[in-house]
Parts: sequence; C-alpha cells; structure tokens
Amino acid sequence: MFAIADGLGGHAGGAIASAEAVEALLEHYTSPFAPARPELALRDAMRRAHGRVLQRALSHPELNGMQTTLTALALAGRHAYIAHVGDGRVYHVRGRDLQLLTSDHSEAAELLRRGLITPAQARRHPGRHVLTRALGAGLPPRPDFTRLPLQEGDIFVLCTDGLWGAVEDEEIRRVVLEHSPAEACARLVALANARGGEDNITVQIVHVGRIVPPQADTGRGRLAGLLARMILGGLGAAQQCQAETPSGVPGSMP
Amino acid sequence: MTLEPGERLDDYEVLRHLGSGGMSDTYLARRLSTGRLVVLKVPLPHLLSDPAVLVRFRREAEIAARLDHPHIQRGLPPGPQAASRPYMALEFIEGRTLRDVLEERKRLAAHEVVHIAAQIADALEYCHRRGIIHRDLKPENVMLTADGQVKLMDFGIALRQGARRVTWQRLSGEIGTPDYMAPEQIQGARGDARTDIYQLGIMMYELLTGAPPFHGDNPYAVMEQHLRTDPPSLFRRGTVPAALAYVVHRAIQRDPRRRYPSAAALRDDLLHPERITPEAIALLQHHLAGGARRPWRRAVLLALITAAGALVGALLWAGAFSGLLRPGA
Repeated sequence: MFAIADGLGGHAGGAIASAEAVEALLEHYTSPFAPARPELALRDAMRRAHGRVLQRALSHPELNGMQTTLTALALAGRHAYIAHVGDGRVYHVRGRDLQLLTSDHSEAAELLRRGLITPAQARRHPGRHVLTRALGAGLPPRPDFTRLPLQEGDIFVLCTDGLWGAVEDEEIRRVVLEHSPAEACARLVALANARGGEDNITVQIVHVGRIVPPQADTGRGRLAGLLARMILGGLGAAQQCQAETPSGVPGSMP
Repeated sequence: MTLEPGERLDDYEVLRHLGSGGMSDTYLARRLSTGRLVVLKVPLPHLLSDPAVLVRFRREAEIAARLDHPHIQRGLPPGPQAASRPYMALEFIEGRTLRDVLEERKRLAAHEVVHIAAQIADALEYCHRRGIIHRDLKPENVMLTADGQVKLMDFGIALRQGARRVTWQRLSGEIGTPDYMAPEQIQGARGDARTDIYQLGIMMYELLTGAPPFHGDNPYAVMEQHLRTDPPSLFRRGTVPAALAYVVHRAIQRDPRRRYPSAAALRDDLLHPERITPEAIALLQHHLAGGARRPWRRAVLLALITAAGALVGALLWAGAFSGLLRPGA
C-alpha cells in the first residue's frame, strides 16, 4: 500500500488531517477484520480515514474545518487498486508511455471537463487550488476507485499538486524512465522547487517487479507476498521523497 | 464564533456577533476611547495559520485604509495600542443590505435602481482610478442607509492591479455564488474595471426583475450560462425603460470590449438616459435578438423564400404550359 495526503492550505489541522488520514487508511486496510477483497478493503479504509479526520476535527475546535486529500495505491495479486479524493495524482508508466490514472477533484479540472475553459486556461486558473472533494469535510467524500491489471516493469508515480503543478507530464515520464526511483524522486522534487516550488511536494515512485501468482489465501496474503518479494528479492523498489514543508505528510508501506 | 459579547480586544469592547463569511467573523464593537460604534472583522481561527489567508487579510485592511469615499465603507486607522491579533476595524453603517431589501420587496422600481446603481458606479470609478477592482459585487455587499445612501462593503477578494496573485487551497463550498461572476473570472482571469461593471449589471438586472439572469441546478450550470447564453431581454419588460434596459445589457455583455469602458461611462448613461441614441438601443436589441451573431439565419431564410418562389413559379409555368397542350383547350 502506498499513499500520499496533502492537508489543505496552511490550516492548523492540515498537517494533522493528512497524517491522521494516512494512518487510518493503513490501519484499516491491513486490519485482520478488513474485507478479504482488496477493493472492498480499500473502500472501507477510505471511509474510515474520512471518519477519523472528521472525528478529530469535531473533538478539537482549533482543528475545525481541517481537510486533506488522499490518494492510495494498493498492489494485490495481479492488480493495482487506486482510491482517490482530491488533487493528488497517480501516473502509470508502461513501456515508454505515461498515463494519468486519476482525475483532479478541483474546480479548474471540473471547468475543463465541462469544456468551459481550455487546457491552457486550466493550468493558470485559480480554481486549480480549489478542491471539489476532500476527506474530513462535511459530506462523505465520494472517492474514485480504479483497478488495473499489473505487468512486470510497471511504474507508478504518486504525487501531490506541488509536483504536477510545476512539472509537465512529459518531463515526469522522461525523468522516471531515465533514473532509478530514488534518483527520479530527487530530480522531480528539485525540478519543482527550481520553478518556484510554492507548494509542498511529495512524490512516490513504485516499480513493480516479478508478480507472484495468486495463492489460495486472501488478497491480503497475496499483497504481503508481492511486497515481501519486492523488498527481499530486490526485484522491485518503492521509494519516496518529500520536500521540507510542514503540511505534506506522506505515508507509505512497507 | 471566537469573541464573546463583553470581551475586550485592544481598545474595543465586543457588543455582538454580526455574521460569518468564508474568511472572517464580523462583530459590532465599541471603541472605548471614543465611545464610537465600529465593525470588527476577525479572521476565522482555523485560517490563522495559513500564510496566504493572512496575506489576503492584510491586503484587505490596506485597501480599506486607502479608500475614502462617501459610498464606500470606511476602514478605521488602528488604535494606539498594538494589535494583539489580526483584525480590522471598519465604519459601522446603520442600514440594511440590498439583499435584505430585495427579500422583502422582491424587486425595485426603475428610478430606485438608477439611484442605487449610480452611487455604486461612482464608488467603483473611485476605486478603479486607484487601481482597485472589487470583484465581488452582490446585493449582500451593498448597504443601504435609512436616507437612501449606498455603501459598498467587503473588499475581501478585491485586487490591487499589479499585486501578486495569492491563492490558497480550500474546498469549493467556501466560495460564494457564481451568480455574479463575469465570464473572464470564470475562465480564471484576474479581471479589470469591466469585471466590476459586469457584476454591477447583473445586480441591476436582479434589482429590476427579482432574480439574476442565469439560474441552474449547480454552480457549473450557472457558470456555463455566463459563458454561453444571452440573458433574457429586459427590452420586453414593460416596467423597464428602454434606456435602462440598454445600460444593463451593455454592462453584461459577455465580451468585456463590448461593455462600458469605465464605471463613469455607465453612471453618465444612467443619469442622462436622453443621451443614449435610439440607434444605439436598436443596435443592442438587434445584437440581443441574435441578429449580429447569426447572419446565416437570414441568408438561409432568404434562400428558402427564393427557392419557394422559384418552385411556385415553375409549377405555375408548368401548369400553364400543360394547359396549353391539353386537347380542347
């Protein structure tokens, strides 16, 4: 399981909201009481992450209104499962091609989807910082869920708006393909910082190694097997970098 | 609410909570050294740690302090004591917002709308000359005093031209209604004097008819109409004089270049409707009816009439010809 969360603006609770959300997500996804099917476990974990942030805000008046984005990638069996709320992004690189797997939940993205503004206008639109969905605020957040069959050599890039707002998709693709995960993370963060880096930046790059055939046990067992092989066998790598800003709290497992 | 009645804040004593906005709470307070009633605007506590929010708040206070106009709520200079927390003191205006008036009366008479809009245009001209764009004109932000004076309020998202843009991440529910948004604002532009003119036009439309021109199930549907739809014509409403309908429709043209170039030009047309030529009114009406943008319609109609005429002619000719050939004719 890999996750990124970005607390909203400089809200007092922004950093707390993102940390709480990631913690609750991991806790519930890996809980022995979680549903066996990964997509159900992920849905459940997202709902509980929302509940945790909301509950914390309600019991601490100074945290009133705290919100966070949450974008999670779970690898289980032969599939990748993505759950997403807010304006974090997951890119998928297969072969030489880069594809964006998530839609931004922002006003600018919504205006663009409706054909009311051009892509060029969307890139500079003040509404790109205005979220239409987030965890911890008001109504249940309606996450997007995606499932994707895995292939050996797949690369996933999880990042906050601090990265994709400053660095073009094509640049991300090139850097990710040309460098090791750790090196690519460092270069992408440096690139975003060199261009102003007004926002905090969190990047995780996940390389998928050899895929273990599903075993007879639950999805959770398959996940553990896959991740264990990724680490122990050196067949894959998962690394993250983070810019030194207070409100971006990345979460990652293993 | 962060301050309680009776609580002291520097030289002020809080009397009561007046309301809450997206960024701040407002309170009625008394300045202890002078006994004068003031409005205190205090940023919402959970936003205090956001540097961008504080920059915006400081800008609002700076703008308020720079403006001194009879139709603009005055910002008051800070007292001798150092501010213990971020807040600003503003002139207390006794009166009702235009929204309250609209809710009670549904719509206003043409001469009242002219009286109110001319004062707002006057205040806007004053702001624009100082490079300040309000960008959030709506009936909630206009106060009407008992003697009919208009006071423009809330420069919370106003912009000083040339200043760096400050945006901050937040959830969309905190943004106000798109009912008064100009098309260029929807598309992400910072806006200029003509943006305020558009918003004033929409407000005048609402004052005259009881509702803004565009409605929708959600904010995006309203935004789409601002960008793509012509508002229902005021020229067909018997209660609105043609010259006033002209002023409103010119103010709310989608293309900023077709609007009034300045608030002063709009105010002059409001106060001297006799100077608006019948040709200008006819041209705008024609444009509203779609004449200017759909010349092909007329061409197609002309072609259809010509084709129908030719067909009838051909049939008549054929009939006459066949009659000539008929045996016994």
